[in-house]
Amino acid sequence: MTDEVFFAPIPDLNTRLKKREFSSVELTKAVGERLEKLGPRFNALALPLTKIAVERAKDVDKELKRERYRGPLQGIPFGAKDLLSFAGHPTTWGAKPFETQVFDENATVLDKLDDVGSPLVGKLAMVELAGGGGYRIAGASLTGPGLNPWDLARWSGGSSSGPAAAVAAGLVPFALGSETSGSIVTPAAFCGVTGLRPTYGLVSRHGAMPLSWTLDKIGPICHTAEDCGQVLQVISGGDSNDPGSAGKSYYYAPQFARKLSETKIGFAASDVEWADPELRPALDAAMKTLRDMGVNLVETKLPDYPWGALISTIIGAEEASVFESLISSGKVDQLADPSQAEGLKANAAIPATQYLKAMRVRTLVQRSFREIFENVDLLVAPSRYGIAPKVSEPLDSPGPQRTPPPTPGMRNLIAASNLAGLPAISFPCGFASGLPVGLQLVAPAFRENSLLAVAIAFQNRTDWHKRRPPV
Amino acid sequence: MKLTRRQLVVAAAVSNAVAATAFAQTSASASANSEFAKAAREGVQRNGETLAKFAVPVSVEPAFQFKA
Repeated sequence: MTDEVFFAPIPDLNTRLKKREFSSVELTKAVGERLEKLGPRFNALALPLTKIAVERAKDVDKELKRERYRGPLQGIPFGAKDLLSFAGHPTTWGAKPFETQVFDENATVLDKLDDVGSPLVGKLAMVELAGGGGYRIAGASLTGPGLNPWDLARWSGGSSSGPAAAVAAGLVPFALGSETSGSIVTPAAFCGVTGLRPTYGLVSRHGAMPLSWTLDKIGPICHTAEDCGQVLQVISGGDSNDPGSAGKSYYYAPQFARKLSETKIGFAASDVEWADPELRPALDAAMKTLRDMGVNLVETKLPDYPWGALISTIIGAEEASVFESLISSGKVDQLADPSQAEGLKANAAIPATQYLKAMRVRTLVQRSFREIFENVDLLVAPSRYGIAPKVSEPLDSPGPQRTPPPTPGMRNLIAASNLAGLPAISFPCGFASGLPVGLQLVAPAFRENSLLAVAIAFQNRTDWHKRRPPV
Repeated sequence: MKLTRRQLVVAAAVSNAVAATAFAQTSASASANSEFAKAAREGVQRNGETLAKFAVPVSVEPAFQFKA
């Protein structure tokens, strides 16, 4: 199997499987072997499942032979962040205290992918407890620091570190990650892949580690925006086992989104000034591409809320409740990052009034976004304002001293849009110092097709998403 | 096994050095942890103060059963 297969988008693999250029068994075996061989190089692999996946692929091949088609993911193997339970096998949540944890049922999203004949080829690494408590080192993981396939001295981003690195390095055709606040967007941007964070409630979290019940989302990390849409169609849908489920399904149909020439995208001019200087040429070029596509860019201001205090209080209070027994048993001290353990302990003392205040402000945040989306269809901003940091440096190292621009721009868009439960996509838009740069789009709730229409048009005009790291 | 006086002295010195290093590491680690704990507690307090300053109309309810 040639290298190009490992980086092929889903529709391409689907066509070749149907044409019998290769079987699902051959593809799954090749992907599994590659993941097992190269995954450890990036600390991306938590648990190989190649044998089980190949057995599943045998059944899929029988169906393909009978021309019993189950959709575009049929026969295509994938990886899943190790916070999703896979019955009978360890689900570590990336953390030492849960190293031997085994559940007896699958996460709903894994069952959904199994139903369409997509074999799970491996569990992928993650930041311990998806970053619960707040981490300050890249090594905050049971599997070691997530290493960036573009530069092994750099971090892959978190907390979906394994899924993003594995897709970027062509170790899996697609992967599932999760986001509470930035955990899909950040690693997708740092690793140069496309990540989609769905609207809160669109994808079931049953069988996933909870971090923050009112913020957690599960979403795809892929080579292209179209791939993200195809995966989202399969994993979305109501689930009575998830109390946060919106009871809605998603159908991949970007062709029915508003025409680009009629699409208004809000942006903040000061965003480019907030970005590290090395990123600015890539960001300027990306904005020019958007203009050339015919979209209307409209200067927009993000409302002024205490974003950091809001997101920290809500995640902090909810995670302290989720991990109450971990904290009280003292096992929290087994975490790789001591600051994370201390963060969880401190969050257990967040007063109820503080949490409720944050949740009340959150109601206002939702109203503010409704007002913003009366004037624009989407928002755009850099996914991150710097390149992937060095693994050897603390993640909270102060950046270079610069005079801050007069307005905050969209710097808090990740926290703000997560608080409002809105969908986002991050896709590669260039390089700086040899590392990928990402652009993010945010849409009103359940408007994933609007996000995808613009991201697909962007990827039709550029080839950043086709670049491969030197694996 | 017979040990010479010189070997005994060296063994004792090494053992003391190991113990001293372990103690230094433990106390450095404990000190770092207490700094992390202090920073985390201060962060919670700072967030509370920030939110307390933010006025919310009495009619605004928390986003319970959060829906996007």
